Amino acid sequence: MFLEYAIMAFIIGGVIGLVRDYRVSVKASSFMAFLGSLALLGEVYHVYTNGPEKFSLFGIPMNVSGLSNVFLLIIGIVGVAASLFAINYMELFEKTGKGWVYAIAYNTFLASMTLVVTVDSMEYFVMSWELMTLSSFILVFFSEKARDVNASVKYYITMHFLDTIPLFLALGTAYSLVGSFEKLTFENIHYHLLTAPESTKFVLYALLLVAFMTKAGIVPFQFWVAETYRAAPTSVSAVMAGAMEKVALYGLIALVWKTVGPNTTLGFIVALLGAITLTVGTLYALRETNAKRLLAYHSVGQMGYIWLGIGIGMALIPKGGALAAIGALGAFAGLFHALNHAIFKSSLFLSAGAVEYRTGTVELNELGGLGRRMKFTALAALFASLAISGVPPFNGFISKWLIYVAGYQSGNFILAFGAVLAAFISAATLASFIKFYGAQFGGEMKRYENVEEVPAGMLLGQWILAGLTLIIGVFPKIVVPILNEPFNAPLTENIYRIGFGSVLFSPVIFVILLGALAAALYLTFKPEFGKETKPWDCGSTEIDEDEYRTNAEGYYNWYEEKIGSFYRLGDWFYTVGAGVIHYITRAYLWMASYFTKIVDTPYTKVETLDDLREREIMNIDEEALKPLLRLLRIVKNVLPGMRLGTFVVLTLVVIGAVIGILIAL
Amino acid sequence: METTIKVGFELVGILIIFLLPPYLDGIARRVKARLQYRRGPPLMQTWYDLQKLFNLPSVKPTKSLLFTAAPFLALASAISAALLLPYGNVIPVDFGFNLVVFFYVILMVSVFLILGGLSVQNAFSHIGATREAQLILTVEPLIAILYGVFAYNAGSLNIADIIANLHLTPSLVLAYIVLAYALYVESGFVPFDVAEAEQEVIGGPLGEYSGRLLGVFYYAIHIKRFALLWFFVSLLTMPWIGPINSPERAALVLALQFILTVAFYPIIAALEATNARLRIDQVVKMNVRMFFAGLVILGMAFMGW
Repeated sequence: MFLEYAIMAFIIGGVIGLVRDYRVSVKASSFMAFLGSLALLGEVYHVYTNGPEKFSLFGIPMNVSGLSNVFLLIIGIVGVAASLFAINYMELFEKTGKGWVYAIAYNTFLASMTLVVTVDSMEYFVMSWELMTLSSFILVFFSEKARDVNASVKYYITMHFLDTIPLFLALGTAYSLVGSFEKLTFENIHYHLLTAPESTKFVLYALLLVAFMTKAGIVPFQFWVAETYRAAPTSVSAVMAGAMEKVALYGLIALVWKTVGPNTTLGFIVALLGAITLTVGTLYALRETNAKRLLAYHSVGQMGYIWLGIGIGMALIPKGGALAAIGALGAFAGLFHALNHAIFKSSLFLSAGAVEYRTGTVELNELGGLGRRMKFTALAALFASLAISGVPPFNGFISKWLIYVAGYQSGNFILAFGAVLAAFISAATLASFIKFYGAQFGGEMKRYENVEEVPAGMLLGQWILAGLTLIIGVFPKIVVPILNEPFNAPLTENIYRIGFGSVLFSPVIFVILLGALAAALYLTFKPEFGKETKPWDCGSTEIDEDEYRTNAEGYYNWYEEKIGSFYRLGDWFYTVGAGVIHYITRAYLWMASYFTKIVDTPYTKVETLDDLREREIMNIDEEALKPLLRLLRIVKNVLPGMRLGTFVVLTLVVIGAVIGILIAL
Repeated sequence: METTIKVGFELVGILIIFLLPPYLDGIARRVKARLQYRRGPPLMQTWYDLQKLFNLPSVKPTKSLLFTAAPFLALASAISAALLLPYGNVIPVDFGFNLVVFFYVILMVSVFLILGGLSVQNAFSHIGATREAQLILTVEPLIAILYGVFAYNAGSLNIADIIANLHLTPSLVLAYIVLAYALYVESGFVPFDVAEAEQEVIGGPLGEYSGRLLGVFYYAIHIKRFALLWFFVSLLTMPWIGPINSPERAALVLALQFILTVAFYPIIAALEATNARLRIDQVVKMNVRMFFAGLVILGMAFMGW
């Protein structure tokens, strides 16, 4: 029932956006999206208390299982915070003047993600998936800057080739198994697959894995992520990184694992892909200086953690016994990390958006000294940074730590190696977020002396998430029952501690201990300040105080130089990937050349996408309808100029002609 | 009776945590002096220094709250980590007696040091802070490998289980060596003191700290070094002396831990006195090499060697 309310709210949000005034449009539609997301959280609570439910929504078969519920929770939390934030933030794009585009696309985006994780039919799954891709594509080029449009086109082409095509092929394969579009429920497909030959399973595994890897940004399909998240409005990037990537995870679990069936080898592949992805994504993030690109690469990295956890589960659960328990722990930890990542990554994106809102830039090299001016944003960013770095007592620590426990105790070299990489990359994440925080909020700069804190709505959006990082970190019990429903991991958990077997951690005791110690120490050594001075600059008089700092680029250059061969290898892969995309684009253009015509200079050769974008072009359908269009245009131009007399004569002629024809017949 | 003994051990542990670390530094200073044909200061000298700092007001280079809060949070983290270690067979506050939790809590000292350094507008502080971050970045992988070796060898990440189930293999011996190296680097002893290098970056992240706040930070660093050493000593000795089932035996183990900790310090001091500081790129290079060596050790462990 709540799900219906949510969808209704999203529809109203889209329709309401059609009002003319830009501000009213984005504000009202963001607010409706906020209400819809709240309704999603209502649904989560409803399903958690009353158990899974199956029903039909506007004729679409729905199945809100325990697994769907986890993802509804993720979409709900991220949607609530990002929509609240967007109410003010979207003012930045006022000069595009197209509030209605945002309103429809944003609400459709949230609604389609909701549908993807709840529908109980392969057919509707693929349809909602396409809707999700399309609406997110529209949001990415919302700013209409050339670089952003390029990014969005790249995103769409990538999605088309690596997502849409495999999914439709998979849909076809499923259809050929079941033989009816009405009965394409996941359960049915699973049932038919039990008797299907191994090769069918293999095809489905391959197709679905490629589709979900691409959407989740798993190596080698991570190349679209950084530019796409940079281009999209920050509140949308928050939803994309927080929720959309997780939808791909839902696909992995619900379709690949639960529907096609568990497979140990595939589990190892998923875990290994996760381990590689977390390394590549995070080490690339380490050298980024654009806040949004940095966060985007970290999303890639953190998705790697999640896949590692899920992979451990997939590989070990079929083995049974003690290993199955460890596998369930890994899968649970993966899901837990998915929720945590949604929370802290959206929070970080919102903080970057807040900084962008006030200073107009997300370039870390230019920023600095905002800690004093934007206290609450800074603290929210610090919380989320510590959470993503896995520092206790924030939520990221617990899920990462459980992934390590599962990996190290699995007794398997591949999985343990994955855990080694995970623990190593955790330090790289920390280093990267020290940069993210330090470069924006550290020090004091004259350049940003007049910057003010962002409006209350934006702060609230950030703090819902930043607060949750700490609350879930200290009391994981709040969300663990919902998260543990799909896998039933044998956790040792109660209100004040969580763990597996004898490996336990009590965040509550830790927080009390740390807090009490810090407070007692503070009271014992109460800081007493003598004089206030400027930081010591070795007596230099000529120095520009704003430049007396390490800029983001200079943080880790020694380290980056030492692991340079890693980057060179990655860049080589990137070049290869970019080449492939280039040729795919060429293929598209070749096809397009038969369907379009450049209007002003008819024989120009179309060579790049820019040619299509910058010139006035005519599509084939326009050309076919052109005579009619021309007639309508003439009528439109001529009609207002006609006198009544002419009109009457014309009417009489027409009527006469009609009567004449009728008589002749 | 049981609880009284336990509380007794806890109290001894807490006393050791709070009082011993500056003395250890005193020992190191004396040893270094003797190696350089000087008499050296009294053992209490580090305590005197701290006392002096605690009595001085601080100079305020920024209005940032983080600048003031960082030393206290760092000290609190260091003490929390030290409280998680075994003294005899008693852990003063058990909030998660396993490798990962211990190393993360001890890491928080560095995190707050870095954040404190970054909160002021001073290039030297920033350079020092980023160097500290690069140290973490290159030491954590080594520690990650050690988790793997110990967890595979003993079947668990829980330190008590590790102590109970560890069995001697060649890979374990190598793991001990890597552990010693990693802890030495993480403690920031001389060839690896690139972050706080006084002569180069005037104290790095500590550069803008003075008076009481600086004292608190120094105290935190001493306790952190002590905790890492105590952890090493415990992991080195406790698996091989059999189950600790009586208070007398526990007292004996505690004495052994204490003596070994004190005995290791002159060795560290000798290493410090005979080495010159490395450059940050050299440190990074060494650690990256150690990482690959560590991977070989991990492979050995999984092959059962």
